[in-house]
Amino acid sequence: MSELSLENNSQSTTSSGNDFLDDDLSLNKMIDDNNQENEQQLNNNEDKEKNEGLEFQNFTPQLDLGQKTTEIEPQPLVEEKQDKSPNDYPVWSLNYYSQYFDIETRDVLLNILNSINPIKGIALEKIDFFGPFWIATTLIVLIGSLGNFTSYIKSLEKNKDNAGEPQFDFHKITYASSILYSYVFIYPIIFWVFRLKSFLAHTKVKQLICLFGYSLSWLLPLCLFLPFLTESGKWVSILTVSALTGFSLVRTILKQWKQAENENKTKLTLIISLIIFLIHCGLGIAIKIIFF
Amino acid sequence: MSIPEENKIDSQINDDFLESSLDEPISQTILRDVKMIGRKFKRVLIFRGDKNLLNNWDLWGPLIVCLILSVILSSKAADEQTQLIFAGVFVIIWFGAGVVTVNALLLGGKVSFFQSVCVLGYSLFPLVISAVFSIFFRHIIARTVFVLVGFVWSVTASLGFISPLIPKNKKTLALYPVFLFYFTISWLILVQ
Repeated sequence: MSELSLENNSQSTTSSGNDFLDDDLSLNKMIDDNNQENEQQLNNNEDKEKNEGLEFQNFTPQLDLGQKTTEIEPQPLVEEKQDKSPNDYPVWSLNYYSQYFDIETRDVLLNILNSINPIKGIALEKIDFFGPFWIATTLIVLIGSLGNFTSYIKSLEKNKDNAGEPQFDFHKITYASSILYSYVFIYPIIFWVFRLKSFLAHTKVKQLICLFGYSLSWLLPLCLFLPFLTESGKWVSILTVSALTGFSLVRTILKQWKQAENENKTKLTLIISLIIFLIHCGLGIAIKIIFF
Repeated sequence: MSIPEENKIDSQINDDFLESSLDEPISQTILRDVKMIGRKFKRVLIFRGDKNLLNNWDLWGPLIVCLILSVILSSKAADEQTQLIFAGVFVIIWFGAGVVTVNALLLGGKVSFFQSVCVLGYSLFPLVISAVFSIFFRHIIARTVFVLVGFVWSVTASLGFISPLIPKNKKTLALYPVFLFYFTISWLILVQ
């Protein structure tokens, strides 16, 4: 009797598979009936139980068919977020600029070490804004503090009996910050804007900013020693370091220029490299004169 | 209706809290906030107690610190530079804290902006103490010692908060600006 009812049930369920929504109640009723039958036949052999289990499972394909219609609904709540690359963010959001800061400690240190190389030119590991900005800021702090220290030493030498209070000139910090930030950020932008089309057509602004920023890095250890040197020692050291870094800067830019295959304009090469070199050394000299 | 003081301060905002804060006298409201600020200052000085205290950020502490420092440093300056130094210290503290935080954010750190500014500001408190001391002791070596102690204390206080939130390979990059920020302020205090 149970088998007959089993077959009846399976037939009716297959026919009602498509109208599952309409026959929901009847399906539930059939499930309930089946459950009751299962409970009554707990003592039967495994096959019957398997049949009932199978039969019970027959309902689940119907339910699956039903569920297919519900798959159009929103996907499961727990979903892997697709990682946006920084370029997907708008310009005014902070995450857009994280592409310029995608750098590790090792890269920054290598960049700094490589930034003085008059023979082969500066070879940067990775382009970033972290190095230029913090090198410039550190230089500002160092120049501000050591510049005041130097003027204190000078005042000590002048009035040897009356030391007095160290006069602290806050203007040094403000001048230093304007000079250095414009050298690292504004000057490369101007340079890039006015580049001639044939010359450095393929360089990007960020490369130039990075280059000019890192070229300042060797002034940092120099500044630590400057207050303790004599006048001529100061001049010699500043000029040497400026010349070396300026030369490596020129070398790097010329190398990029040569890659753009414009070999006939030697006069242009000379002028532009002279400009870069002079501005760079001019920065060194200005630092010496104003602060030390 | 009366909820004990500790529960009022430590619990999250709930309806009871909002209702009772309208009924209580203003002095009680103000005192509660003042005590909270004082507790955060104490937490920065003594690294014991509730670690999450600084998570409820507020900018009163950094403002107080900033004002005290600016007043101290500008009062000791040469006459023509008083205003410049007051403004300068203000700018250095707020923009410095902002820049350090933005730097940590750009390097992929998971800090919230104002929370980080709050921590950096509160951690300046040891340096404020050393600035107050250096008003009274003008000898150069004593001042150097005070400022050095204050500097180390401040750096330790803020590092304990920020360094767990930065990915490992960029830790030095994110922590160096903190170091630079406190160095600038310490040097400003030392030179006065």
